[in-house]
Amino acid sequence: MSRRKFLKQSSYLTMGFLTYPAFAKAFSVSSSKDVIIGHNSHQYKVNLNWGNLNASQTPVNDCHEMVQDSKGRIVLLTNHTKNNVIIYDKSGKLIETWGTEYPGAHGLTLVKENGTDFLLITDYERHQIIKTTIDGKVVFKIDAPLETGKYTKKEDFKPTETTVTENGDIYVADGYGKQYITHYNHKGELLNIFGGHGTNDGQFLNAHGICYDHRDLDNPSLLITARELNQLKRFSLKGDFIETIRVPGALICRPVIHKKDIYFAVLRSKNAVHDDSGFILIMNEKNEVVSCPGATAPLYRNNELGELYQTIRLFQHPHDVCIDDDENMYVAQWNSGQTYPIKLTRV
Amino acid sequence: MRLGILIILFISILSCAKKTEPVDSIFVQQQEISIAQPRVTATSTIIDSTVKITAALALEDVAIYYTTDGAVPTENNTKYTVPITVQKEGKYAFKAFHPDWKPSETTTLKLYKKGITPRKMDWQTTAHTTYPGVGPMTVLNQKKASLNFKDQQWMGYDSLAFAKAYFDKKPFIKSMTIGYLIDTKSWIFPPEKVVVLLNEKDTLQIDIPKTTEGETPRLDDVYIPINKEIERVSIRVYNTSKLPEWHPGKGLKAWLFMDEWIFNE
Repeated sequence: MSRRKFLKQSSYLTMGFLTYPAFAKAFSVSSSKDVIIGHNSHQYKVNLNWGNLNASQTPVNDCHEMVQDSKGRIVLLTNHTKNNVIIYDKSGKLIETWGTEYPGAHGLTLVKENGTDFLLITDYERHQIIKTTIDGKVVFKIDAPLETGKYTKKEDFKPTETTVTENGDIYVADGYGKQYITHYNHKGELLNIFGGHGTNDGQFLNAHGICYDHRDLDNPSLLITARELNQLKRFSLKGDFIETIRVPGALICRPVIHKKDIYFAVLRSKNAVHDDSGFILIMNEKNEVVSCPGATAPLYRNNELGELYQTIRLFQHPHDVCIDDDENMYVAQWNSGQTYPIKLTRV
Repeated sequence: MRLGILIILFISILSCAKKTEPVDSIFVQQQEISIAQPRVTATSTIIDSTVKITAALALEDVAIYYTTDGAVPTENNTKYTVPITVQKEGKYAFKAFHPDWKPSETTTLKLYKKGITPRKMDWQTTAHTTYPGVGPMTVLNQKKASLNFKDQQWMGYDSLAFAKAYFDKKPFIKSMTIGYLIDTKSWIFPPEKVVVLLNEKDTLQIDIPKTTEGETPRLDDVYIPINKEIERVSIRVYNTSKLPEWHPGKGLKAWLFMDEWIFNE
């Protein structure tokens, strides 16, 4: 029996006939209610049990990333090689699993080509990007870009994320390697390389996530996180630096654009005592932080955002978010005790 | 009779109203999850005259309570509203409470009284080149370091830290405190032992208890009772020579990070 069920039954017993709803409703000064996290336009209830599976049959290690496919299914990528890909429905029911060959499965991007779904998996242990069909058949692989001259051996290339533009071009962030962004055409042929390790405008410390931003249709660009710097950087599609957006205190993983907003899992708070001090961060269409579920309310003074940090010990190490077509959010976590994703229901 | 039934019913309803409504929700409920511990800072953690302590947790409806004797605060203790000014050394403890969330862990801040400054100190060993602090006098500069091991107020050693200190006019020194950092994930452990030679005559050895797995990063100190007039003192602080079995670096040496050495009157 679950803990909740037990509590429910035992309290029914003690309350006897007066649990009749009319009385309960009229006179209850209930001390229990659903708690709500987040701020302003983006507030959520929290379901910690969503997607829980039998760990002996369908285990996870780190839950790295999640996307929703064209059928509305929630696709989770984990680095557990018994089942690297776990596909759920929105209620958290298991639909299918596949994948046993991705020990460093980290980045997951959905690619839609003429109505067909494909996935791009970045594997930092294989030093590769692998394009697969939605049911796991390998289409092609991209290896370390040694021909650029920036890498002397494939082991230096530890890609963490990809993003794809409308014409099929692929950008890869080498977030655990040498911090370059490589640009390929839809066939995986190299076109450009930029970025690199450093703290200058066009450089990164932990270029962990990348995202194609086409909210402004006339000026599409790339958003790339510099996680250790607590910064989001914007680049042109040609690789020219445009601007830095600062999120003090927040180690943002990857930008996820949903409608006009950008959502981020924040791995941890920069100055927290505990390492497992992550939260969620949401920016509006002006790239202003509007809500931080699990953390401080965003506060701007003279256009400078104050330090953000975890206030509720709810999340451990959020690593990615997926926003579904009901505006609900799924949170995949790294290094969080082999736990399954958390679902946040928007209120 | 009818009145009696009505009274019983009324009392029952009232008593029912005090009970918790049964939970039939898939969502996290009130008082299931804790809030984060308050962030506590002080203008200095070494008191010359007074020190101002600030506690914060930027969460609506939060209430922070504190004690000035290090005891775990309850909602019966003093509520924190504005920064507090204190003169006394010791432990100050802060804890946050909230109607929707379980109380936080306790944040404890330890304040030290300013000590006697030696006339001269000679280092016999040097700090690691990556963590030199702000120079050889880092441990005497009256500035405690933060929890971040990259803080410049830390001197980092991966071997013995050995210095000799000399005092004018042979002051009576009651004790000595050596401040250090525990951050096991960063391979930073307490010293294994401290050996002190007083006036080149008396030797004192303090062994430090082993660190257990899962300790959260914190500042701590070794207290060395002296109770003597001191002209010169040799201080040897030994880093942990072998990381324990539970640590990923088991068998290898640990880092020793020190901020302040205080000679207490």
